[in-house]
Amino acid sequence: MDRRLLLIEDDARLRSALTLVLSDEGWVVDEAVDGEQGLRLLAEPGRYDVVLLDLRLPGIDGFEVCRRIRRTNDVPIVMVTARQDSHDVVAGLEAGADDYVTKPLSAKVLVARLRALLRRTGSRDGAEPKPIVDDDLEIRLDSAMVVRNGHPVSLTRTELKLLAELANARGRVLSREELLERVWGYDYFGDSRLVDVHIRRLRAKIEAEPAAPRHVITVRGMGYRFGP
Amino acid sequence: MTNNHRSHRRRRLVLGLRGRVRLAFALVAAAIAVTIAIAVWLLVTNLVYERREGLSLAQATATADRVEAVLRTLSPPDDLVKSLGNPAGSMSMLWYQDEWHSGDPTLSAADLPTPLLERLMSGERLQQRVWLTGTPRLVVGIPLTDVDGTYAEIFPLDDMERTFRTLAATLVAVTLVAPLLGLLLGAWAGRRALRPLTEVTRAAGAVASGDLTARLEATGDPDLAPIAATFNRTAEALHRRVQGDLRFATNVSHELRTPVTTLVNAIDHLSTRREQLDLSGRKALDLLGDEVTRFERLVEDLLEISRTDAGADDLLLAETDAAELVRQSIPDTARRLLDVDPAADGLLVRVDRRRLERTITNLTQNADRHGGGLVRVSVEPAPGPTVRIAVEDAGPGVPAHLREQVFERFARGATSRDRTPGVGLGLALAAQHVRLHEGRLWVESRIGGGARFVVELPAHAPSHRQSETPPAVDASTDHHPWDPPWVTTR
Repeated sequence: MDRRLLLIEDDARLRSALTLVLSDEGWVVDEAVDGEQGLRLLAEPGRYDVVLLDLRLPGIDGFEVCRRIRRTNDVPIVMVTARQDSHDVVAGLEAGADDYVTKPLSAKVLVARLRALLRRTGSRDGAEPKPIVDDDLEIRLDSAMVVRNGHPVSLTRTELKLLAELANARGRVLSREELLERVWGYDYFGDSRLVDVHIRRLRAKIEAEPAAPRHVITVRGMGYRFGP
Repeated sequence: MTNNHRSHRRRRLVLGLRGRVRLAFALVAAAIAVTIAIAVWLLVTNLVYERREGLSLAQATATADRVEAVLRTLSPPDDLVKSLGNPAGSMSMLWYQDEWHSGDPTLSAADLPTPLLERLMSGERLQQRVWLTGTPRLVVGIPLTDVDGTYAEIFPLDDMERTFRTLAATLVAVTLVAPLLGLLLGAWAGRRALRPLTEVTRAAGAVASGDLTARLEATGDPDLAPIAATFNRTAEALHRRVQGDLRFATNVSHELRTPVTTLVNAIDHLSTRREQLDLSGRKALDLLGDEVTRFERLVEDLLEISRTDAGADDLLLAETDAAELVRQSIPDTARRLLDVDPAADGLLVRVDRRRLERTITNLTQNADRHGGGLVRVSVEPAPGPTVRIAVEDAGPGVPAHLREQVFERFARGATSRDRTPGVGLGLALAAQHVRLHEGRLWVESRIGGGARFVVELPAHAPSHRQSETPPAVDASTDHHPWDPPWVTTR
């Protein structure tokens, strides 16, 4: 089965080069020159496996495109930022991106990221069929569903994977590095902001009071744990 | 050489502005003191002496009148001069009938200098100071015209002389002290007058050490306002210029990122089709690939260095195990060269991991490219407490006079042989990153040849994990002071 990728990038030459490399890796790449075109192409649900989104776009900027995609779609989004340490990264993650790559990005890094992204969103091996219940929250890993107070919660696949890792640890504290490795497939030098921003997004969806969380708890100086 | 010598000699003669003010004050004070002392001396001594002379003359004249009156009655002159009983301790002598008669047994005519005696005997009216038996005296001679003799009275002046000596001592003391006071006054005045100059020095120093926002405060002083204004204008222009340069460097490297990305990926694409190219085509592809990699790194370094110059506040500090960080930062092939002192194991440093990784990578790359290959990477504790990370190579080493210079931007090796690509910014960036962490980076000679680049960072032993601060981007506010019993630490 072909994996389909939507590339939203305004620079024609860069678009062409990335398409060449990704096609080599077996991706079917659709190109969009700006946010409007990208959003039009995304209107058809389930058409793409992943979106590669440049944050600096003419017209609607990347952050806004990200937010609009998230309103209707949980497709994994990898954003392309100019700099790793700029505020763009945090803002992009807040807007709903799953991961990021920085320019000049090499095809090798990009392909590895996309593989990790699909691996974690695609398969559900090792998930226990028995739902994990914590107070008002019920996590059904076998059907990728989270139910709070009887209502299903819409999580992106990365958020779900993060929650699953924490829930499967059964109250053990997981460090940011461990979570980076398990959820994003990063090595030692991953960006712990990925974890922190995703935890924040997750709390906003599953906690009654995100500022005083009861399910996903920060253990100062160590990491996060799930549970009472 | 001659020039040097001359300028050195000249420098020794040049006093500072402050020194000159002090010296001027001291000289003026000395001149005033000497003038006043001389004037006082002349005035006071003359006044006192004239007064004493007048009194002595009046007394002598009165006595002479008495002597003359008595002599007219033909009484013996010796008894007469002895009976005079002069006040003020003066002694009387009488020249009468070609003979000297003394009123005091301690004094005889022979004690007086002969010229004076002759003048007295010749009947001259005189007043003269003489030294007799070691003391100053005033001799007053009054001719006794009626009886053809001379009356001489000798007044002691030693009390006056003592007064004069005290006066002289006082004046000399004042004269000596005055320049010292002048010096102090000059120092005080100089400091006061030059205080604005100290401010200028401070501000200029701040600008020189990189704080381009340092300005002089505007004062109401009309003498200083122009200097302050000029200084501030200059600093402002410099600041704008540097900011402009930084913006330019940042913009350029930003603009270059997209084309570099295109290049990197196009070459990647070509590389997968390497087999389809002939030999020369492959060679060209390799060249292209190497150069694009180098170009990419240069763009990255340029951006990074200009961003730090601009004072980017994006330092993401986290407690990190120093030895572990080094282990992760060096290439897999170099792991066996890593030598961690057991005492340094577990030492924590508070660093931006990405920056420090970059620093160590740059140093190991430098060793590989320009130092004849990496030989050893060590981590050891040092006083402070600090941790020292040393990267050693087998190259020719860095000569002493280039040891500062190698950390400059786009520094090149001394020999053309050493013009290996990529020297550019690596060490400068490493130095900048280390400075940002309040550490030090230097290069020294390795024992056994080669260079040894040492990074020294403030470190501390792991105390309690609770003391660790959470990363910057953690907005969670939940507090759980207890450790759950099933928490396991890795």
